[in-house]
Amino acid sequence: MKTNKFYISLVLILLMVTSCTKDVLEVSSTTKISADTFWKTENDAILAIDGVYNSLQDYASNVLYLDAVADNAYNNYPWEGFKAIADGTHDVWGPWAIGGFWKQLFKGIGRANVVLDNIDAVEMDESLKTRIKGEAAFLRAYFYFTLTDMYGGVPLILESPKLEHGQLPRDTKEAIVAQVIKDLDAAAGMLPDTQSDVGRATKAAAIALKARVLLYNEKWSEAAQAASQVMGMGYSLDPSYRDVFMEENENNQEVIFDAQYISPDQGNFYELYIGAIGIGGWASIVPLPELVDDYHMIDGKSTDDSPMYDANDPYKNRDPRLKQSIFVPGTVANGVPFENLTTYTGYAFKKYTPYDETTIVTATPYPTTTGLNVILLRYADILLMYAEAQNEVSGPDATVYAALNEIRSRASVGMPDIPSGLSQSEMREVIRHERRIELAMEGLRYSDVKRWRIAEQVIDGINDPGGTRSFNSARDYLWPIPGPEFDLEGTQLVQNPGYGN
Amino acid sequence: MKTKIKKFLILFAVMAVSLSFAQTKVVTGTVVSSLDGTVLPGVNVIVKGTTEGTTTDFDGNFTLDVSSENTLLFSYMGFKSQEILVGSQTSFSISLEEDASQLDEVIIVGYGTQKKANLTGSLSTVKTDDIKDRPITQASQMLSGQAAGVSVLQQSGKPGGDAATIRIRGVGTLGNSSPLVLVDGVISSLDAVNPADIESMTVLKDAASASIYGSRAANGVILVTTKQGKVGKLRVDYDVYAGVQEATRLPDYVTNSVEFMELKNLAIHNEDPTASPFFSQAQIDEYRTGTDPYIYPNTNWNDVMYRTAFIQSHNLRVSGGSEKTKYSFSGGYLDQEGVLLGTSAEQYNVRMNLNSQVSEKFDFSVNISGRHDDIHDPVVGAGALTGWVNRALPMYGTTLEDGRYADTWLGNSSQNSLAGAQTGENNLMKDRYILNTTGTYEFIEGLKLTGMVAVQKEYSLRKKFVPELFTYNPKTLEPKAQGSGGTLLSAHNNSNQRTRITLNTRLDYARTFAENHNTTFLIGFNQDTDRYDYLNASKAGIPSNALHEIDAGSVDPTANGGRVNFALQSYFGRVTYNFKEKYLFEANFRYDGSSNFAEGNKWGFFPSVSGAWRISEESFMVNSDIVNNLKLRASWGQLGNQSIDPNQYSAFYSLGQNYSYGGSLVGGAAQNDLPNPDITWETSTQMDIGVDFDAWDGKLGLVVDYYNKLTEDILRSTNISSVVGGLNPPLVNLASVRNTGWEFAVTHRNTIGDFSYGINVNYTTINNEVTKIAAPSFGSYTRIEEGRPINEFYVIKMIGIFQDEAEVITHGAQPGAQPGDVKFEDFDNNGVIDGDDRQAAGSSIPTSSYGISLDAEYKGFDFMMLMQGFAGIYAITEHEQKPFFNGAGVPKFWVDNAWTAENPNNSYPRLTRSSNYVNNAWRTSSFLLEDSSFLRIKNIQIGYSLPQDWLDRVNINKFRIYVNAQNPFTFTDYRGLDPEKNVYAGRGSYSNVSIYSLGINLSL
Repeated sequence: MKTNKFYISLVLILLMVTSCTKDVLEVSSTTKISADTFWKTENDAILAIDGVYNSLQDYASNVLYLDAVADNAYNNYPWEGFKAIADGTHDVWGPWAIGGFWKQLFKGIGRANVVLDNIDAVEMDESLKTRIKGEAAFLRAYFYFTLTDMYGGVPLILESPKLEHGQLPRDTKEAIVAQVIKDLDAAAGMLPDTQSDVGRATKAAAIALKARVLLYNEKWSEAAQAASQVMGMGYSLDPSYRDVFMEENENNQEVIFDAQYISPDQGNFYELYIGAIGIGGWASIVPLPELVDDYHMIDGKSTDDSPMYDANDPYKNRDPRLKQSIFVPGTVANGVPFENLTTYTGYAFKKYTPYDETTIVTATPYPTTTGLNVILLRYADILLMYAEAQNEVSGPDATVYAALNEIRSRASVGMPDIPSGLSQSEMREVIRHERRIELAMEGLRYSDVKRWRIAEQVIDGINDPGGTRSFNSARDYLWPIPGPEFDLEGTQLVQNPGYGN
Repeated sequence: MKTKIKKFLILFAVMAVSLSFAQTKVVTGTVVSSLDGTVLPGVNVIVKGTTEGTTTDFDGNFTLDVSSENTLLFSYMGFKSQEILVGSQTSFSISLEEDASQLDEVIIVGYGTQKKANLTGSLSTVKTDDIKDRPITQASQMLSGQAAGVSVLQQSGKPGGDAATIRIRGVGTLGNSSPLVLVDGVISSLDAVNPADIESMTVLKDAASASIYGSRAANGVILVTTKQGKVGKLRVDYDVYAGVQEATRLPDYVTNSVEFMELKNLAIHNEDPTASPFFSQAQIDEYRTGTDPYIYPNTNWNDVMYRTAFIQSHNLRVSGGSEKTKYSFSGGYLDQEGVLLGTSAEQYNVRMNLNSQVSEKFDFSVNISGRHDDIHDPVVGAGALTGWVNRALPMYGTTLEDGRYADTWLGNSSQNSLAGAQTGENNLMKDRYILNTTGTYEFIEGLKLTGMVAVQKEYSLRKKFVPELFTYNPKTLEPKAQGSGGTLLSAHNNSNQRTRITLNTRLDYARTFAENHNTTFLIGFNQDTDRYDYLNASKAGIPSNALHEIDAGSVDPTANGGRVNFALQSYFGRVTYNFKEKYLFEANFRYDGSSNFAEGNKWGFFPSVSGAWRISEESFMVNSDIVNNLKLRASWGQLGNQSIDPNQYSAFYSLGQNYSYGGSLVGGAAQNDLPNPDITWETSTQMDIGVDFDAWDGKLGLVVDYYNKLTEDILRSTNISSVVGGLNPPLVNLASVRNTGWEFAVTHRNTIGDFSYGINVNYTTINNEVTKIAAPSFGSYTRIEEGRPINEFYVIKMIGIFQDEAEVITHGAQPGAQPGDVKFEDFDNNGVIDGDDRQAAGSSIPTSSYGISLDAEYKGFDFMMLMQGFAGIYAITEHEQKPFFNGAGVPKFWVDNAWTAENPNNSYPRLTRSSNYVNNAWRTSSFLLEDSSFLRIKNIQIGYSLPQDWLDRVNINKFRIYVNAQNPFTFTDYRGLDPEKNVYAGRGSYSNVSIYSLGINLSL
């Protein structure tokens, strides 16, 4: 009987244990931060603004592909999400870029809005608070501006994400641009000239972006003014064009704003995308012959016009930026003879790779990322923006020549000055050509040919290894709003012209 | 392994209790089971017409004073009674047959047992004997084809990753549709149990039987009972098999390099005649005339990477017991190579089940089990490596002449799959322990208090080493580093552990009033707490491939860790009542509180009621010679489903949204998910009407059920606009889905002389319909819309192939299409093929399933065959058949069937590469879907048992040898991979396997 009592008490203890555990249903996460406890300290604000920069990486990890959608480069792999756009066979469902950029950019906007909505209530160093607000406003402006460039008008949202935002109609492109300018003016007022964390947005970045926004929207005199303001802010050209894009030379005197990466934690795959197959890359983005042919001779004349051009040795005496940007036949790349490089167009980009003719580095295979920053705004671009805007305002005045010649006389470039006496429209063509060469493979050409309304002339009919490209001027100047948005009940979005649902 | 068995034997021999009884009376005898020759203790032996009698002892022996004209009546629960005239015999050897009608059989039900005859709910029981000796590597595979309403699909044959998915009565949710599994009363997983340790599995299909498990029971419940010791002397069972496995289906690619190159050029030319060929004529000519097999290989990568893989299994069980203490100890070992190079797994199992009646009133039992899985995968993972093999082209060599791994000199950069399988390390070790102790105290007769504590621990540790690996261009011998799923020369440890504690207390009361009113009551409390902790770390910069550990690394250290908690508290109860076991009534309830939901939504109540009428017990039928049992059943109840990730009701900032400034990494945080504060469980209201019918003493058994299962508040991640901060959508209680259907189970069992046989057929229909959804919701291939099956395929419809230019012009909606392209239906007739042209294109869940099993025995020979089939299901074929996708090969059937002007057809378009060409086959359309209905011979087994009298001489109870074939034949029109695969899966999915094995059962 004694033992029985023992067992009874055992069972009773069990009963007690089970009734004493009232709080077990209250479970809180110890790995994520609850929204209720976030936004209390300075550190929260820093975490949140760094989370906005994080979404800039998403965007910048794909932006260089845009040269393959324009007439600079070729992308052979449809599954990478761009080729169909180059071919003009894209629709509302794809390829990836159509919906991918849309989501990534709105993600960045949402994160920036969360910072701007919450930071005022945080007790923290006021100057730091101002700086963070400036960065958030700058990044929001960057994302919204990019959206207008790709899709035209989009819903304008200036508060933290809410489900109801999915029911908003599109605002006009003009309204968005106005907000972007407002944000950039505010950011310029709040941001410091330099940041102790290299890579954070600065006052110059805000004004430089403003110059680009104004230029793209053909507000010439304001654009020239903004660009000229940046020209006085202490940036200068790196003597070596090639070095601007080398990892060991990151954050050089020419860089105004870039997307920062570090390998392997927060890197990108550009080394794979751009590297030739023979080196261990994928040759996803390779130069088109159309780009190679457009590099002038060192006498400043085109290959058609220059007596220096030798069809039997076509790469001799060319604008030095050619061989600093592109591996051409006859060279060795990373120890691999040119004929073994294997690319689709016969050329491979050198720009944005660590490869050159003399050294050998081990190619980083997938899925390890590499850490080269992607430059989004640099001083040479500012000079070109200034030249373009000023030429539209006043015709080719001396400052226009000066800006262009500064770029051409970079130590490692050494191209002759632009011949004087050009008409405004002749100068316009010179600037457009200079932009293409100087900024090749930087993700800017697609926007340029669209805003100049020459896309159908330069893209349509290109014969690349994938066939013949098409650019439908009635449709393709804007990308479609992604199809899944129209599967949602109650959407107020209206599709861009020429695209079905 | 041998030493392991030896240790077991010694251990158990020491513990064995052998009892012997003196016997000196007139007649003696032994009673055994006809099924497996085991002795039957406790059999009633009565002199017919008297009250004299005895029961058999632990060795099945009896002794009795009788005279020669007496008749002995042997009776034993679960067996047919037998009468024998004593005559001149003094020694009897009685073999009792199992009672096929099994009406007295006791079935395990939720928190208790119930006589089969008195069940009011719908449930199916599968005994291991029914599936004996199949080469089953995971317990979840055991149920395939066995029970009506239970569909089991084994989607992969990867060692350590070959668990089957189980769906009970259709799909009533969009989230986790797996049934709740309890092992000996503890919520656990089928993956934690050694299949050989399982005695039976009971599948609770309707609300009446499952609602006592409340908020976790909506997908059905499976109660697993492990083998317990039985009263009797020490018994040793040793089961072994060895066999080979082969992939059931692999994509069949062109393996001639020149042919491949020409086909790829043709595909590019077809897309755009102005495009440059991928391979120059010079390259093709060079290849054609090249003789060096290392530079000009024609590799069949399936032959290189797939093998006939070995499998072996050993299981030893020692069991027995006295009236007071019963024990069963077992150990098991499974060694399985994978059909894909670089994959293998070993499984070690140990179990101890001990049951002791400590006193008259107190019962105590302990179940302890441990399982260790040691799984080896290629460093990139089996899925990724399968993808590599799919993409390996015939021009890629395996190795150079000197044995170094080969790169290719031609075409895209390649991954050398062979190197991927042979280099590096990716080892997953899983350990699972279940400690479960139960005490039952009987206060007065019929009133019992039961307490249970169970602790479960799951550990898993994945150790990965990413090697530095070079492949060499066969022409230039230039090396190229090959990526293997991480930074080269880095080591990674991912460890996690889960701790689950279950506390359960319940009070049972059973009483019969006024002779005919039988009642039982049950009330109880249950608490489950679940905690999951993880810790991952890695380092790079390991000096060489010889070192694999993090400590050998020097740079880029990373670490992350965290924890997830879950808790559920529940009250439950049951009342049953029957009158003379003729009119039966039962009611259950469960009241569950879950930590997954916010205050106000935490608690849910889940009731059920059911009743049955045993017509065969009525006076007009009770004496029928034909009908043994006829019962009508009806039930109604509500169940829940709450298996979602925790903490979805509040907003969170996720860390890890990092960035770097000037080369220094900094942490960032952001909200990634839109929360849903109103989230609550799915509720499933289920109704079931059934008939049980048995006639002609087991020659015919029939069970028919009609079920109607309405699941409301189904949780699904909604589609939200990307404009909403690009946030991930929340889970929302979104839709309602009704599953209705019929289940039929027919059994026929008969004995003709020495020949006995049985046939079981089950057939299930599933009619799935979304009854409510706020707005239709679309996936890339599917939709959810009112009045339609859940996730039905919804795509543009292919209506043929353009035969000529004129047809393209007439059609009008596909400008730019060429003859040979797929012709899509312009469903809305607006002259454009777009999203508005999508139409319903078949169900992604089967509309019917069936299983047929046959068994037969004749003089020591036995035969068993199991067939399983599904109908009315469609599956995506896209990935298997995409020619040249992402640098991949071209399937042979394309080459044979593609449309050409000379060989036109209306079903296969001309050859193009995937996805770029707007009018081509790769647009999401009905062309990429096919009916994947199939009938599979799941298993065939032929065995022979040595005659009992031979064995008796050497003191062996049983010796049986058998051959078995699993998945030997499949009948289907589906042209994709194995039709048992996930309907959405394709490239990168590990093949299912056929297994041919030879085995022995030995019992001492």
